[in-house]
Amino acid sequence: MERTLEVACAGTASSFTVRKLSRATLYGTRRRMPVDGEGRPCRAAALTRDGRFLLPPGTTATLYLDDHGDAVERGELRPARGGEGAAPEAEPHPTEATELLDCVVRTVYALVAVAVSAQLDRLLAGTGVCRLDAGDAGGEVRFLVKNGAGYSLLVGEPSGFRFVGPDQADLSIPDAGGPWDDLDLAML
Amino acid sequence: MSRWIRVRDSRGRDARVRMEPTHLRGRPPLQTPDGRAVEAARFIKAPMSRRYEVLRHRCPDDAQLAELLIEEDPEIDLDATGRRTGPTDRVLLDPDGNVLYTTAEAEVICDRDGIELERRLPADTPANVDGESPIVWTGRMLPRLEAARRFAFTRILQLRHVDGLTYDFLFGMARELDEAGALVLVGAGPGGRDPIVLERNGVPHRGFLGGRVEGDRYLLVLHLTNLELTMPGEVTL
Repeated sequence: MERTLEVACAGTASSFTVRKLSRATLYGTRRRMPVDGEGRPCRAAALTRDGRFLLPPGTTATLYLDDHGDAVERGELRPARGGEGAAPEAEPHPTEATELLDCVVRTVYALVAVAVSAQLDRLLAGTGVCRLDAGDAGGEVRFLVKNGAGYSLLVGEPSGFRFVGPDQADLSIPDAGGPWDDLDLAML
Repeated sequence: MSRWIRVRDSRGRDARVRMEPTHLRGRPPLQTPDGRAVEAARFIKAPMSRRYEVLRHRCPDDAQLAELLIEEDPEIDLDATGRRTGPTDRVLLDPDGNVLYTTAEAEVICDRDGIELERRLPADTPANVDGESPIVWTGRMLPRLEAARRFAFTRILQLRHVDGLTYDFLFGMARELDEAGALVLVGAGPGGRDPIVLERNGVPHRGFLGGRVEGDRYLLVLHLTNLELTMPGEVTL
């Protein structure tokens, strides 16, 4: 089923179909994989610590358990945002390029426009970048970007970088003269 | 990843400075609609010994396997099914399901439809940010807005000074880029033509250096990208 993105802007609605964009879908992949002595591909599995059960992919299931130990469907769960529940919906607003450049992009979606309102297009005509989230609690941020290739949705997170002055040199270099008794060799 | 980078400015001077990764909060934890915390737990459905491929070896054909399944329920392990896995170790299995104690590596290249194009012995790629050759400005400037609309920057690092001399060096770079309102394409190797590789055998990225200043403070950031904002199918290999 095709996923869609609905954007409400000044009382109008725009909608897009959404497709995740990755290097694999754009350029293909180049990956390293383990092979056995005959060059056949190997697969990873999990071995329980007691050595009793060998668990290749497909032999386990992940459940979400609440504080009573009852299973909760994944679709019912919401991201915790400071105890306030789901993030509030926000109107898209144009933003400067620096705001997007100050974020690390986690996921990119290519959007195919189904219906784009004139209001949304007018907003994007300025910088070509609109922020879609309300900027709550500095968590996940979402940007709608329009360029010559079309529309994209970028989901990221603020970098948290701050301006530094002359007295803020990064001196966090490990101290060679530090104590040697905290080398926990048992954990190696 | 090295926390150091050797970088050259537009005037051809280079210095070794610190790189600081992002301070990300990560994805927020999940909770129930009424705000109660949940815990993810992994349970065993059926261990390896009860899978079709293993059970199939016990019977000459599928019909007899079907009979075995009906009569003896060999696919169900009452001791294992529903158990929490607890902590596990990762092991590698060959296609026959045998645990391997040592493996080789192959590099597999696939096109965007997932079709394998080539398989070869992997070559080690060293990191190139803290070697003898610095990361250099290519001279190609890209306005901030165009960079933001054209690339997805999936990794970013802040460059920081370690003493007064490197403060002057980085502050000058940030001011130059701020005045230009642009990012500069930087790279490794002669003329900065090679992509940036942060770790040994790491993912190669194209790098752009962006800078801003506020009074005597600066923010100099290395933006790394390996993904262009375009529609699938528009890129030609």
